[in-house]
Amino acid sequence: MNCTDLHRALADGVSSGPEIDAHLATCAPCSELVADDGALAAALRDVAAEPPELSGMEASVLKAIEEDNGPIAAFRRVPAWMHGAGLIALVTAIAVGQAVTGLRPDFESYPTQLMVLVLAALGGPVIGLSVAATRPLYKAALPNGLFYGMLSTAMAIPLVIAAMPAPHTHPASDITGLFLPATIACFSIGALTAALVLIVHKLMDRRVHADRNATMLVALVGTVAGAIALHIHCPFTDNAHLLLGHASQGGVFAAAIFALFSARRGR
Amino acid sequence: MVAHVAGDKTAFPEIFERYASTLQGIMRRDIRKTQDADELVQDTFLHLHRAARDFNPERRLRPWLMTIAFNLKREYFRRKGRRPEAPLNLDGRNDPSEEPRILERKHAQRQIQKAMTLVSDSQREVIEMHWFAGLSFPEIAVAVGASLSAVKVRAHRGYERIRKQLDEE
Repeated sequence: MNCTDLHRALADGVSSGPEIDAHLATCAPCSELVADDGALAAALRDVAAEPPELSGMEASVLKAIEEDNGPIAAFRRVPAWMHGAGLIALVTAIAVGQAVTGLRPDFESYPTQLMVLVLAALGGPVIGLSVAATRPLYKAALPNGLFYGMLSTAMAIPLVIAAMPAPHTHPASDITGLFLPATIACFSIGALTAALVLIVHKLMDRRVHADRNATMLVALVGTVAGAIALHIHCPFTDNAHLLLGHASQGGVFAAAIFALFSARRGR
Repeated sequence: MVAHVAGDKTAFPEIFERYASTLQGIMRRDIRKTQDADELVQDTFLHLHRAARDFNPERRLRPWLMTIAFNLKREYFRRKGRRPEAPLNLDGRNDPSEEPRILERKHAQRQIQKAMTLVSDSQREVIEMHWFAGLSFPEIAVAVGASLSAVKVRAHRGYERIRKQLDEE
């Protein structure tokens, strides 16, 4: 006998017997239910049995489904794994595009192992965040601890990379006289990259209403993608520039999204 | 679901008929604004339609659909910055023309619904999935991403809390 069988038995007015007793001996929740002669179970059954008021709803639901067509709607209906893969592919395209069109001038003297390590350290969160952000709603939600852990890690890794000592000296890495314009430019590139990723996600998202947690994860995919692109492109090794121009977008976007969703509450 | 993906226009109305009342009950019990609750029911079906190609026909549709519904409800409360609310009609007023037996049952229902808002979110979710969505405990374990024993512990503690609340009243 399982819990559902016991509930049926209770509904039929049977609350004891060898099978029931054997089940109750191993099932604490059901033991709680049969206390007071099953009164709690009866009350829960009554609440469950309340009649619905569905007038007009079927028409509006079917109309919404009928109207869910067009290229964007078709994009939303692709298998869920393609959404995460799509974000990862987008970030890869951004990185490759940056490497092809605007490789950092000091690339040849930049330590290869360090470059690989940095890109791998940034690429890992991109994959994890993309999978988490596009987790379909028919699966269990991410535990809060995992969500905040991923968020913190994705914000921390660019900050750690930005705080590392300069790996080499090169004329192109000298930021003297260019700190402010260079930092604003790099911050803007990172922010635009994040915005692009957010737009693509919005097109793919099956939700009718955006979710704060999913949006924050996608924003972090975008800001880490920005950090990757900037690391491939920008030759400046000044730590303050890297912290403000390359690594701060994660925190800024996370805070902005949190503030935006908080402001929209209650509407 | 397979028929719906294949383009059979009679398939989705059938799905609606089978699950709409359950979904509406799940939403309306915790959400005071009936318009918001009904919108969430609509969102659930729309999401089901969009996710149709992901559905494995060898699995049951009910746990799949109910997981979508409960996740959307959780996101709704996160979006609104609220907790589940007891429906407004739980104010204790009765229709004096109703039989005493029916009044007593309605009173018990009100007490249960009020007590449900006082248990923790994880415990309430398990009880709602089991009693109102018709999912077995193993299905609930998959839906919430916890072990079977953890789910049963949540149910047990939820029942205890509800019973304590009912005894206090």
